[in-house]
Amino acid sequence: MGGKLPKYNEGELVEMLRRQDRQAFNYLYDNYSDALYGIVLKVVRSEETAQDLLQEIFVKIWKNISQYDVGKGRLFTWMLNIARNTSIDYLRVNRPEIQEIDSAVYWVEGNQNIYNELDSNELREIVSQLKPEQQTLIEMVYWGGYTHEEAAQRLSMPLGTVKTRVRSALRDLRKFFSS
Amino acid sequence: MINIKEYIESGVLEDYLSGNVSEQERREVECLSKIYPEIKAELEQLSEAVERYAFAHSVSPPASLKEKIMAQLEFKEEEVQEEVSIEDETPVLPLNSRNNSFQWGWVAAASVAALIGSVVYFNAKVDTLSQTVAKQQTELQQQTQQLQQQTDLLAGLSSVDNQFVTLKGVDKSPSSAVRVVWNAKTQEVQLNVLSLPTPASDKQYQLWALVGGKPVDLGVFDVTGSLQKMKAIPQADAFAVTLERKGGSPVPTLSELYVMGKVTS
Repeated sequence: MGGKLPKYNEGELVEMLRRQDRQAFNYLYDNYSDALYGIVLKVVRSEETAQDLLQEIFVKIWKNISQYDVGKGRLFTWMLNIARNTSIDYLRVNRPEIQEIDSAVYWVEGNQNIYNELDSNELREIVSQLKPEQQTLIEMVYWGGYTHEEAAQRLSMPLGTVKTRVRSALRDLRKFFSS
Repeated sequence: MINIKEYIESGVLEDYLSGNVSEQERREVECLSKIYPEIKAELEQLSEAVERYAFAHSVSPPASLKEKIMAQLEFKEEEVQEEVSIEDETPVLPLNSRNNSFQWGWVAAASVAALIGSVVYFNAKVDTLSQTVAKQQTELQQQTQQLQQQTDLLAGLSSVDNQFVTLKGVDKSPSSAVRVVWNAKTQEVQLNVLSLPTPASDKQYQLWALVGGKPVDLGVFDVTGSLQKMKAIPQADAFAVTLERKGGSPVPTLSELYVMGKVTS
């Protein structure tokens, strides 16, 4: 199922979820659980914890779906926020030492490993066109909940450089996808 | 007017998506992306890129997890069961075992029941009729009032310098609509509520002008059918209405945005 993008009208799905429709949840889970699990797994780096958190995340999505505002952006962006906040909250409360000892080197290496395991499907090929450094930045800042300042500190890079590179990484990614 | 291209290139949209923005910037992005389709499109494409990136890194969780999650959720099932239960409660009468005289008694009882039924029916009918009359009287009063309001409206609208901006309902309240009449010469702003939900007694709607991306307070108003005079403004890119506490707020509460409309230049 990995890498499959859902094909449906987001408005309809949200409407069904708000009516607590079982079919809608099935659809949501089948289409989004892999992507969200992939993110959480990268942030917490423990399968057991990631599974607990994924449960929490889907329950939160289900309970708070009435707060999602279609006009403010994509459903996935909203769910990504929930996933990101839930994972970061967990790390702050339960394993503060991880945040302390976590080095950028570990992050980069960790990602390198995941990269080696990737299939060569089209999406992944596109993503691999980004420089590894850009990928690290995207994952730290967009998924890992790092602020620009934290990322700059961990990567020993000037703040301005981090800001510019984070933005340009996403911009490049956008270009790859639209070309 | 804000420079849309510059705004998009400033990087604030990327920062918004990663959560690296201040509260003020966040509201600005959400507000501007509602007004300017170019900004909305850019934000949409950037979010899509993040989304695809996430999908490219999908990992399947164990299959058992789905059931674990679903066990924690409450679903509303289709209400088929209720009908079935009504049928179940219908008493089943034995078909044989009763003699003729009992059946005549049954018929008599049924006739009495029918008579009572028709009296109740006619009483109800009379009630309905008097309700209809009362309703029509109220409607007539309302229509007279509306006619007066329309006449006033026409009188207030007759300047050639007037520009009409229809503020349409956003997601929160799609059927809402407000019309703003803006006189570019006198800078006067008048407002006419076409449709807005009645607010709670401690709340009031507030009109805002968006000038160069910044909201400017144009005063609070009540939900009436008449034309209401608001604060004057020399320049505006768009108008918007939010629901605020009674008396208004210094900054708009964007989660309470009801209608919005762009000024066509």
